[in-house]
Amino acid sequence: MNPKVRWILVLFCNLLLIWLVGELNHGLAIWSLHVYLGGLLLVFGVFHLGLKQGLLANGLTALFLDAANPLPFGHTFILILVLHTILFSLRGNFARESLRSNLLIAISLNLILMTALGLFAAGGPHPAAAYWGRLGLDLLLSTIVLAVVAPWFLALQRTALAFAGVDLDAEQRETE
Amino acid sequence: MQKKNFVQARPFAVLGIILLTWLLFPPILKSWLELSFFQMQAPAVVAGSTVRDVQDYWALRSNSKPELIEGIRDLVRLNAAYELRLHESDQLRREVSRLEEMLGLPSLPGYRYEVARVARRDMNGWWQQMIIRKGEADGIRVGYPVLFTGGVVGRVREVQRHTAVVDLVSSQHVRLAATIEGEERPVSYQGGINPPIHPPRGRVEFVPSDISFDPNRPRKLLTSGLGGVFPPGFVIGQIGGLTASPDGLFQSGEVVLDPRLNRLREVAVLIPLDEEKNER
Repeated sequence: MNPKVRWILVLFCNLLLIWLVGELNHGLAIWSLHVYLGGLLLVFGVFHLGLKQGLLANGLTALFLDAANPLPFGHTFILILVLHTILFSLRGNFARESLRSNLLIAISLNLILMTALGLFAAGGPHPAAAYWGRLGLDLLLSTIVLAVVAPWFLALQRTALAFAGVDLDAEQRETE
Repeated sequence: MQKKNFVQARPFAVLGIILLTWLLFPPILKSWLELSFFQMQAPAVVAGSTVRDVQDYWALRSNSKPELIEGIRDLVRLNAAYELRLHESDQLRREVSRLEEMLGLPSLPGYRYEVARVARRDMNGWWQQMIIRKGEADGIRVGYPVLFTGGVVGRVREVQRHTAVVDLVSSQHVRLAATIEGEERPVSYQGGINPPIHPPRGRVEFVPSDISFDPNRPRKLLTSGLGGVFPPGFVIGQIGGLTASPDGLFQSGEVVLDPRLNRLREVAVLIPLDEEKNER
């Protein structure tokens, strides 16, 4: 497989997760609960793709997320690209192969994204405590779901690349 | 050293170029991009909804014949009651037309109901919206009111060819002119912050100070018809409590919305007959 198109596989996996989370939120809406896994979508593209391919995969993922929300188009796109770039420049400091490291990064990114979206979407004469309380509950639930789903999703992306003939472990050994 | 600095700065340089390009992107192209990315996802959303409908069909098929017969019998009774009400409604409509003609009054706006299945619900602390499986091809336009058997659902915010996005009445971004049951003076309603595991909520403001709240007989909040979006008399929710404002002129309070809002599977979009005639 042409190594330059691995971003397409990562993008498809991200779109699958977006759809699954949408279906989960449809069911949770009965109890007025919500799960957001934006942080998990970013992690693989940052740690295992080059700069251009990672920006392509995560940038397009962000545009799909942006199109589905009522905020002005581009908010999530800019936020995700900034986070991607910062994390990409620091990725040498993280144990990229460690699941625990990936999980902690995903949870941190999720926290940042949800807080930023909360700031963008806040408005109107509502008590700040109630608004942030509701967001806090959503964040707690999202973190629990992320911790459960992350091992499966990261393995899915790794397997998708393996089916296409990309051995990330071998590449990692070569660069070391 | 210089090469190392360049390698470290390269990601930020690329980011800067992308952000600059995005800022210079014409708004019309951004709108087209937003529509394209939404429409690319719409088939998957509709497919998920269709699969759920098929699941429900097979679940119903597993019911025993006596259970189905009992259900059908209840529905027949309900249909008979609705047919009587429809007959009464037709008679009232004819009477209204006759009076309008006699007194030379302009006709009240007429509507038709476009029933649509709910494809996806999205209730969170930032927004409350749903995607329905009808769109521009079915006569739906931005701003049209959406109702269900319990009253107001919300307002159409975006429309594509075969899907539409509805802002729910529980969303903070929805504001309506309303009246309290039995009163004529308008008040203001806005969606609120919806705590989990509780019925959705909203807020009512500018309630005259002489209106009292009785917890044993909570009054309904109805659409006022002002603004021309929602016809008057549809239920928004029930007043859950009133507190006086600091200046003592008005009161504000909580509105408890119908808990069925969070589990709707079918809604009706009101399509004004006048606008439809003009478009043809």
